[in-house]
Amino acid sequence: MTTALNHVDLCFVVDTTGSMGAFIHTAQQQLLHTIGLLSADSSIDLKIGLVEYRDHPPQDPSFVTRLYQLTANLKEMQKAINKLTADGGGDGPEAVYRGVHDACEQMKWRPHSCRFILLVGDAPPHGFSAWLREMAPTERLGGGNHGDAWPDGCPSGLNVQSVTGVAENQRVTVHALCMGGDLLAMRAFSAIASGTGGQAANAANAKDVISQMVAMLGNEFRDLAFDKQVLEAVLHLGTPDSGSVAETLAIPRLQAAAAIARLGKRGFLNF
Amino acid sequence: MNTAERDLRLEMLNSLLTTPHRKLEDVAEIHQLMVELDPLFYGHLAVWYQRHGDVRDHKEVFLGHLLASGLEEHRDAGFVMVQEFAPYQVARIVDFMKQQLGKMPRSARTAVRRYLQQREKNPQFFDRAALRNRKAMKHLYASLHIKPSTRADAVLFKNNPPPDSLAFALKQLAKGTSPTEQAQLIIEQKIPYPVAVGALKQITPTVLVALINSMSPQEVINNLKSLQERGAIDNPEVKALIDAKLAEAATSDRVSAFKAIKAAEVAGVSEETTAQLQRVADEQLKQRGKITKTTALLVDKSASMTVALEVGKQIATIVSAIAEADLFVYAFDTIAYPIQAQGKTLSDWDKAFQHIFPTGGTSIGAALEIMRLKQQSVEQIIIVTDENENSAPYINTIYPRYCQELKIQPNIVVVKVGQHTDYLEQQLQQCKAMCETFTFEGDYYALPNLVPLLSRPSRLELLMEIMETPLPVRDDK
Repeated sequence: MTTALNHVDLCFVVDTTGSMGAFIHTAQQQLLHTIGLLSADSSIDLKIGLVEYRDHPPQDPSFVTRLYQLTANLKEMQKAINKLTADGGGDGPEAVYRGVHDACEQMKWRPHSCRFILLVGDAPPHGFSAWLREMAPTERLGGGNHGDAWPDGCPSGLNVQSVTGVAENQRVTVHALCMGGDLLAMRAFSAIASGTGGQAANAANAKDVISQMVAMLGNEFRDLAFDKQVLEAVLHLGTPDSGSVAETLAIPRLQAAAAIARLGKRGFLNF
Repeated sequence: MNTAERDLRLEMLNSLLTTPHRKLEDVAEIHQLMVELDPLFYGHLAVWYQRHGDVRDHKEVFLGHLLASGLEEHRDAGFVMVQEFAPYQVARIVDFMKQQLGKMPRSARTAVRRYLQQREKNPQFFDRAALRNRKAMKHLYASLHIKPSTRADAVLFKNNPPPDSLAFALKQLAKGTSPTEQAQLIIEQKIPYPVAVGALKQITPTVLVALINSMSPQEVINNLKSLQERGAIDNPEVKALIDAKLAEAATSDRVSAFKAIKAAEVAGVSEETTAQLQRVADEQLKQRGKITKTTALLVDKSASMTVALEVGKQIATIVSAIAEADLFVYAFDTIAYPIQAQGKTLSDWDKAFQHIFPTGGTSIGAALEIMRLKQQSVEQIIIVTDENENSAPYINTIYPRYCQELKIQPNIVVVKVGQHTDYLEQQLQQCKAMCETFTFEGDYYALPNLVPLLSRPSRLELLMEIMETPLPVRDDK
């Protein structure tokens, strides 16, 4: 069980509609950069997945989402990323919710892995303006409905709450990168990311999101050896009581408690 | 006080929960806003906070603003209050005024001159200040161009301390070779621990006994880790002394409750010593106030919440120590889990939460719904969450139902953690719920600041208490 401690499953969820044409090359570079950074850390056992999303028919007849399952074959994933092309779409908003939802539900996440989604796009989800008006009536973003074909809600029936709920149920943290500077898109991406404990940034600060994600992973894995010690202590004691673990390992209780929370979140302590 | 004034003033109180350690500029903006919006309230709040607040940085920024105020009564209050600060704090206040506020009025300079002269008048008082805060004292004289007395000059600037001074004794301590002589010097001169360990080449048990005997309970707590590293806990005689100091701490009003617990965790001391420190914290908390309102504590355990559980445990510890009415504790994701501790210590709450991990979605209404079904009536609810509710039952549906059925309208205190939003507040406002928020930014020391708000019968009473706190007046005018 302790060998699964360094499992990282990362899924890119990428808007590949026509409006992303100007950004797709930058997006590809950022994704490949992320893979490069993470795979350079030999202490991490990395798998990468990819979900492309476009729009609901009739806005786009090609597909709503297209999945490339999590794989440890990083060269294969790099090829898939390089082949991404921007096409289609119709109105402004896109099938953002379906992209995130399908990634959460259809990726074969490893049982105890650290799970991340990096959402990359330039347009908000359908019905987001209406959702925001209901959830944060005092907030004023302006800009209208972006010509939203479904202003009252996404035809998938999904919204910020349902996708963040699915993400939380699957223990997935969503980080988001908004290309193009659309305020509503940025707001939507922030709402989705923060709902799962992640962060959002715009394309000018792509490095911030990636460095944030790498920093988060760094926080998770900085204490890999320590977490392994704590896990072994818990398994030996038969209890995840942080006081007992702290005393056994002669460490401060807060540190033991934080490690136990990390391990418990990843399902190592379900006994 | 009208509603707008009251809400603004509560907002100011809320902002005091953030705790920038050693970064005065981080809270400077908040204080600047408070001073501009409501200088009258700010003055009273500064004095009230000096007495009841926990966070040193805030106290220093308050002083800086009082001393630089355009209002004479504020400057006078600052003049009197600055005399209570340690030299290193006065130095920080002076730097803050010069660098952040860009001003150092004559009255402030006079206050610092008075401060230094009070110490110069009493050689023992001066020596103690100079020993612990040499750099700060020198900085005060030099940066404000205040002429030191001959003795002060000799001690601080000429490095030629007179034989009757503590600085001279410290030099003798450093030169000494016999532990017995060193111990005697430490006891006779009450040389502070951090200063003594810097001067001594070797710390023997004899010297440790002398040092601890000379330390206040708070000093023992602050230096617990250092003492442990020097073998103090391993020596029975020395350990007995430490335990006696901790027992004394329980009734000392100069000991910070949460620092006591933090000291235990940092020092990794034994369960016995930790239990003793916990008792210290409990006693101190009890002296801060009592919670007479029935209370519910709801802790978000969803997957996005890694910090909330620890914050929840610490708040449960604080509240249960001083609650005189019922306390109901629940952890929630999409369902609610009642949490019951065997006792009231952090260790008890730790055990109570031990199988609760950050997993699942977020339904803040789930716990309130269980309370509704169990007819658990409370007057106030504390919710530890990032406010990102994503699953039914939603709080904005359950809260009105709860109020209607149980014929009560509890106040809500939201302790914001993690990547928080304000969705919950907005939803609760639509339900006409009275809601206050506090942002947890990583410092557990600041959590006791919740106590005044939870232990007063109403927000209005707390604000009245603050407004009725008199400003000190100068006796030399």
